[in-house]
Amino acid sequence: MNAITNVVGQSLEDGARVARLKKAVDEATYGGCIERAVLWSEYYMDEANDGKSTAVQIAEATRHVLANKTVKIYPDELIVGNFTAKRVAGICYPELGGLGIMIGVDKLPTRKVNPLEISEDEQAKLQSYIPFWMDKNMVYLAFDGQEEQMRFVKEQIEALQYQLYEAGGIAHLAPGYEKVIKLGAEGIIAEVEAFEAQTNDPSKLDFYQSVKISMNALAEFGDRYATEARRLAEAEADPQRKLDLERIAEVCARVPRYGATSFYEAVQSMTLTHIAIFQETIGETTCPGRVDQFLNSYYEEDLAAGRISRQEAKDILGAFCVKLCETIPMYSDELTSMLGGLTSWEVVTIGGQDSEGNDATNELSFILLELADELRMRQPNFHVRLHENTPKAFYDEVIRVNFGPGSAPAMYNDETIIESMMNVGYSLEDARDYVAIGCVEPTAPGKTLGSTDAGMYNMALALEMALNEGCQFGSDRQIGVKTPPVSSMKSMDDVLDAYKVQVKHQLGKLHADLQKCEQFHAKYHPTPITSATLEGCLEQGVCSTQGGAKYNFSGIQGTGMAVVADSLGAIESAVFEDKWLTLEELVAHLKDNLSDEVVRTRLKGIDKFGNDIPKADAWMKWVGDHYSDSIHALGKNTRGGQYLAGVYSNTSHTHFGGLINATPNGRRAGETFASGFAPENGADKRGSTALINSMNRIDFKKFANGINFNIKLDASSYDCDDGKSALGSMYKVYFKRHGMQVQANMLDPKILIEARDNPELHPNLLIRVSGYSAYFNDLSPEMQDEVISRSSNGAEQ
Amino acid sequence: MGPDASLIDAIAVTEPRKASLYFDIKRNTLDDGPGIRSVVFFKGCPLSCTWCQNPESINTGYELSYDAEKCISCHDCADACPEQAIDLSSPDKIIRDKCTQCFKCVDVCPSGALERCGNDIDMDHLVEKVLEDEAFFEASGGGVTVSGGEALMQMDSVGELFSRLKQRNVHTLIQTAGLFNYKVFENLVLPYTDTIYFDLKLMDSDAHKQYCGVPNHSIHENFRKVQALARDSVIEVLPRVPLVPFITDTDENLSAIADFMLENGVKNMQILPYNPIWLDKLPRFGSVQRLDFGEGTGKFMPDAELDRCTEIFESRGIHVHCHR
Repeated sequence: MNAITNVVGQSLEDGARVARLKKAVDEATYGGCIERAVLWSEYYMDEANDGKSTAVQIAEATRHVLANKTVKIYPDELIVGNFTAKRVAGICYPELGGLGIMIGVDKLPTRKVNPLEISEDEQAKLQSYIPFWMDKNMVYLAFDGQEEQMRFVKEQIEALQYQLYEAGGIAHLAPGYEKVIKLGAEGIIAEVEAFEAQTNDPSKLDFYQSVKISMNALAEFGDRYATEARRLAEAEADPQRKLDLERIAEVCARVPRYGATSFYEAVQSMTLTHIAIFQETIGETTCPGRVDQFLNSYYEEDLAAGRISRQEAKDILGAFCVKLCETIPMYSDELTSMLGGLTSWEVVTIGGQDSEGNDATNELSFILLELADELRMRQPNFHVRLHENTPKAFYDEVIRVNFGPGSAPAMYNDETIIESMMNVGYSLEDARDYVAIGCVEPTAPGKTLGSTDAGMYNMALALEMALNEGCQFGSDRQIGVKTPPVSSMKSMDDVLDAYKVQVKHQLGKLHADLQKCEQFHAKYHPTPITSATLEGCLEQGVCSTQGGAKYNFSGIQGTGMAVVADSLGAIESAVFEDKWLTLEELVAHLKDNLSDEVVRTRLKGIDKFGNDIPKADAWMKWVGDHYSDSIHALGKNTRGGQYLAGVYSNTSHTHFGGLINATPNGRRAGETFASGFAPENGADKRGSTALINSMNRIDFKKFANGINFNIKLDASSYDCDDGKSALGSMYKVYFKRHGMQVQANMLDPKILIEARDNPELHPNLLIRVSGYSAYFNDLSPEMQDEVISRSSNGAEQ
Repeated sequence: MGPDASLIDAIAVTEPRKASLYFDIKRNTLDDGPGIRSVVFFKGCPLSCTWCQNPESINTGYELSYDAEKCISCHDCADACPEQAIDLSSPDKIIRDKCTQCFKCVDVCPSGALERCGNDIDMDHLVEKVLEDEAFFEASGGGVTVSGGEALMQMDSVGELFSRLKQRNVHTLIQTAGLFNYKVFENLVLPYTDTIYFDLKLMDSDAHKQYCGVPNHSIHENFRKVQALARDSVIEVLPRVPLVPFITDTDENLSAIADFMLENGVKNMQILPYNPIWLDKLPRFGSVQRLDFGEGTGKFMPDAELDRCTEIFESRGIHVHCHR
């Protein structure tokens, strides 16, 4: 079949179409969509499907969804595909973590944070499937017996010690979209058939069968859009739009069924595959990855042949970016407090180097940065890779895009990340091709099941329990190990020993629970579409949920790093060096929530991380290294890969902080922790260069699952030529000395306070929270206050 | 010579100091010269401008600073004071006549409400401190700025500091009010100086004496000399004019300054918009407010005023820099 000649015609008016698409999505009401849950349930409730293999059932259920879900082509669209039946909505997965949502679905439209529109009829319909899934959902199947199931659910909801996101589905990967674009579903089927011919292993054959069913379903999914586009074209009065629709029909008749022959087809193929993966399993944090790299040959060929202009390519990519905003997560209230905002963490990674180590920045990298600047929407998350040979023009553009309404792309240092990845087993070539997943997590795209956000761990609880024999203050609930009472602790080492014991015990528990989740996915929820795109799965005949991908990891994030580090420093200084109070006295004050203002002020006055004070920074390094070593000591996950340590927090620092009593750094009960790897809020008082010097004392290579360093800057200081140049230099110093990641929060406190008090004034104010973008108005009131307080500190400096 | 010759002799540093007296080191400044800079604020100034934004910098001795906002009224300071110079129930809190500046109160203050202003530092430590951000200087084309007070009251220190910095190729900049012994400067400091920011305040010498405490002849003499150096490309000089409503910002004064600049070949200058935050600092040192021009005293300058001031220089072909 021939490539379409004039790809998109003359109807693109320099970005105006993308602007209209953005407007439609910005103005859409957020909803919850029940379609996938209904179709999925229909399939599993049909007795004719009993007795089939799990893999075939998943593939057929996905096919049932793709073949019957609503197909919509919205006005102005060139890149088509709808995640749900509504313009912007979340999907409910009853077989995974969806049961909680189904039970509380009536509250979704009226809840305070992130309300989702869902009609009473839809609510009733969704709830009618609850009984069916009660004994077929993830928790039921993963945990033995009611007591264990209840314990796990209770602990997940409370999220005091940790929260396991893998309990809701794995995702957290960059599928090999490059492969689908190149081969198409038909090409993959041909590949599967070649492997099939070489084996008699029934489990492999079963997996191959599931992939073939899925790939056919994917091809037919494209056909449905071709049919719909043709139908709309026939009825279309506007001749220009009619032409558009006819082109859409031609493109969707070809992709994702066949390999793409143009830039337009490539983007369309990726879009429909992306949406199909959201039907197969939970889709949040399924990342497009290095779009500028794998689309570049299509762009250059089209450009050389005169089939496309730069602006047309930008509009196609812009339409794709806007589309990524049409999906939002459908979280329960509990999860909303951990994962504030309505972000789906679809990361587009820009720039960096190729597998030989040469600079890979290209024209599409620039186009994507322009889109990041012009769109400033919740999705995608734009993450930029930088290295020694990044062109100056590109770096300057990255700095420029740092400014604007709230948003700044996260920046990654290739040198540190590549080394950290090689330390955990990636080949040099694969590490050089890394993408960021979700918030900050580096993985090799198209060959890794990294489960990068398997769980979040509350580090500060271990400290509280170390000071109170394994219980929280004022509680006799023995959550941790009964370590010695503080009266018997005679040295800093005694304190650290107790802390280490508590960490080890908690992580041991986390590990046991996580392995149950891993085993559930392997046994009950294979992912044939996803796996077909990942290197290793077809070759080995093993689904990625069972370890088929070339690389396998699970990432566990530590939250509360700085509060633990500063607290240990405070104990050392106050109790063991200056000796102005005993450990028992200190704990008595903590139990009393530091109501003695003099004591609290003294504790606050002790040197803290983030001020370029070697001793205080050394505690941060100690806590970080210990955390990383503890995670690595967990051994291998059930997919055969290592557990990796990460330090970023989404909004869990507020949630975890809310549950932890007063801490020795002078923090009172319930106060939020700092996000990710940042100093405690307001603790860094000596400015950005001092902060960066402190950060550079950390060995980031130990955190192969990534870190988030959110630096708050007063926008007005830097938004001038001198300021931008200084800012660029500052990041360069940080990276040159092995910094890993940084994301600027360019803040003007006034605008945030206004947005909090009058949400209608700034409905689309984008604010960066710990590595991903969310609209300010999507955040909980506590989180809004946290952002405001952070920004105020920044302004005072 | 002008009538302030004796004053110059008085401030010339003849005995090398063992230590430098400073009251602050500010890092990551973007408005004190090119690139990212660290600024050393030396303590002591021969001028005593009524609007001084660093009133704590004028006195050449140590001072006790008390910030009521930070005070948690724990009374630890009063207990620690051997002179009974602290009475938190009195309106002034600190009885400054009684204070002998032993700073025992500062040592016990938990909240940082009491602070010692003015510290002696030896050269090794000073160099170490300003080089904490050396990597940032290098990456941004920044460096070290000395300010004050009047940094050139401590020329031994500045000369030694700058010579050590030049060994490491760090850019050096002086912010001066212009009253210093040029000969000593020429010997000790100039060889290691890249740039001077030179303040001119009032052209009328009587007004200068009234508001700044000293006449301006020597300052203008020094200005002519450093401008000559600038013309010979020995150093860079940027003249700066602090704008103080009704005092320095009058058409008359600014026009006179602009003409003086033209005589000396100035092509670029900077205006420093009035900074009302100085008012906040006074109570901390038990100081009296010596300047009040009504409502504007506590406000930043409106843009229209800055435009008017800028135009006076621009109309004479002098390019004006201004951070707004």
